Amino acid sequence: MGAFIPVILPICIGLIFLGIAIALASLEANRYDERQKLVRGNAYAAAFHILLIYTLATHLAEIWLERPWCTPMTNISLSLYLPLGAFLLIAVGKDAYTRPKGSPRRTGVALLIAGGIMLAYAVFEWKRRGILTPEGLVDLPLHFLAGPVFLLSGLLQLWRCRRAAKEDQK
Amino acid sequence: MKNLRLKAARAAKDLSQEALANLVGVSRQTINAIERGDYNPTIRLCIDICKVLGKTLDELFWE
Repeated sequence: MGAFIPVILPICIGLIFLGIAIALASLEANRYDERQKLVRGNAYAAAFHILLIYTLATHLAEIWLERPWCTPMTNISLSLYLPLGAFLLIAVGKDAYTRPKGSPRRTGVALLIAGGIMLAYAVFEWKRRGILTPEGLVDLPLHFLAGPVFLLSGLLQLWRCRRAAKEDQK
Repeated sequence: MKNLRLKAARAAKDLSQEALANLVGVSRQTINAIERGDYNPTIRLCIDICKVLGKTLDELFWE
């Protein structure tokens, strides 16, 4: 029985991930309307292209400098939050982030609070340990990128709500 | 191109964008985008809107 575990385990893990992906896909399909799905598709594409460009730029920088320019954690943060930021700004900017029956204002406030907390923590971390390692590598705290991304998205969402309220008054 | 006929039909039924959006199951911004001519809805959504407003596709969406 033990000999089969290396074969069965990856299959089980794969099936679990497949189940989660199908559940998320069906949830996604029921949540957003057709225009929002179109916008979100474009936002995902933009995020993917930004990730590709960032990866290319990082490799070129490494070739040019003949060493990494930042710590692995900073690299992971950038490759995570640059695409996420692009996705959030496009989706929020075109009113495709909150599902039709959701509350855009509540989403905006939640993003704003999350961004504010992350940014405050990032500033604290930055003051505590600086931005460069002793080896001269850029070392950005994770929240240093996440904070502005969420903060900007929250502000944009609230601005969109305000604009929608003005349109309603007209 | 703005869809003024949709706006007029909605107003005639005394429905806000929000109310129409809820009836057809989309966001208010989607109805707003259709009325402003910024978004071309699928035929399925056009039919749903026509049913709610009691109009035909020709009356609301044919140029």
